[in-house]
Amino acid sequence: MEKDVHNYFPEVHTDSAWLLPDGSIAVKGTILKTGTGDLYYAGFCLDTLHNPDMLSNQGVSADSEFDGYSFYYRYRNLDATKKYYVRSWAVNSNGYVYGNEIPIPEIHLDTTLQQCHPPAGSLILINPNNVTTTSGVSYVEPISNLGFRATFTNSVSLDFTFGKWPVTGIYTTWNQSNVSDAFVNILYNDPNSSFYVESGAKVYVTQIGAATFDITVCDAKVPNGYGGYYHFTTNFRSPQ
Amino acid sequence: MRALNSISMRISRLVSAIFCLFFLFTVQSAKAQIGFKVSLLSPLSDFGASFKKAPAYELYYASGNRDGLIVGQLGFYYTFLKPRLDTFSSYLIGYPDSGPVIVPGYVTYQKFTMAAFYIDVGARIIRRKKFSLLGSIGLEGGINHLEYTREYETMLSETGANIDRDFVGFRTRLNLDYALSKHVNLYLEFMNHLTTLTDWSAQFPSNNIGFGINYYFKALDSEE
Repeated sequence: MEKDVHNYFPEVHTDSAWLLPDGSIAVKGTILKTGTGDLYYAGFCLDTLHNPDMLSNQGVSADSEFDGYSFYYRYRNLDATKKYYVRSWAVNSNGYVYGNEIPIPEIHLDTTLQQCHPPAGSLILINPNNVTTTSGVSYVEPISNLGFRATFTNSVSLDFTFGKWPVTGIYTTWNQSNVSDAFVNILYNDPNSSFYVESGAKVYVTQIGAATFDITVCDAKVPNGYGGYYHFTTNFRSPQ
Repeated sequence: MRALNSISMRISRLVSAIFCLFFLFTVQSAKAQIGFKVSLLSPLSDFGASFKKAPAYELYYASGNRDGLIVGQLGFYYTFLKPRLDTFSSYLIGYPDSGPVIVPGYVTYQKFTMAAFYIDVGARIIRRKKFSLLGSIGLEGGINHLEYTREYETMLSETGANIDRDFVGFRTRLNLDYALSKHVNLYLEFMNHLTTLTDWSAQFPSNNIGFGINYYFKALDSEE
């Protein structure tokens, strides 16, 4: 009996997608059969439309990266305000196939992982003499297509510049003006001086709308120009 | 690889040349016979993934009388295959610095034919009354013709393309032969082809099972 033509091709299943604490999405697939040809690659594609095309946010796993018949991929920097769909695919020497489609879970941060929880719309500033002051946010405005400025009632302002337009996730401060995707540059401005916030502080971003974010900065450090440092923690929403 | 291509091309031409010479010098031989065969070709391996079973036709001259131990055959072989699906998934792989990118596409086949000359030599293994069992091995060389359309997202679109490619191969046969009359034999045949394009970029293995008829110009003296 002639072999079923579909037996020559692989078969793949999209098992699950789950939210990671930092707001990224992990997806898992399984190779159900390799077909008659050598299996070369498997992976995922993701889109806001049903039945994502293979070229849409393609994530590739080589067969050397498989865990048995399972394979994984991690999607970062997704827009938390959008609904995504993901499906797996696999290719062998005869061609490619798609697996089933599943929806991506709602994207948000696991706030239990946040290192601090300042009051909403506040700036908690500790000066080099360990004196703590708390101010409110006056306004937030965009300053470029990659950032915004938050101005507080004590006349301090913070200029945030991201490597690309932010999404829900955890970023790390970087004290140079050229930042890559997972980092943010913060310029601390007071009436007398401006300094870059030191590298390494965590910035928690939750996307609320297309251009609205809830931002928390935990224990960032910035020099005061006299050998000492300010420490600050803040939360605000931008832009307003 | 270049050396292999050269050898393959030479084999293909050699088979064709021998066929022509055989036609010129043996058709009048007392031992000459002609035959016709129809078989069902079953593509194998990746070839079988794309094309359905199809009839194959052969017309040939053969030497060697009905009682002879050794038989030789020169012939022409033709088959026309249809694809198993209307459209096949296909893809290209790109290798930018960021890692491999799989570009999906499709290919459709409008026409696929194979035509070849062949030469083989066989031996009569068993003979019982009017039945004989013969085995043979041979070479073949010819051309396959493929018409197709293919497209890959954002990269390539090819409509109404066609390509002719040389191929060569080995063939092995097993015949169960029956002497129907003084001049006519019927036979059941099992055959295997192992063929490749002369650039070795694709192979077309197949099995055939079929029926054939031989006509002997001159019957055996013992049968007259």
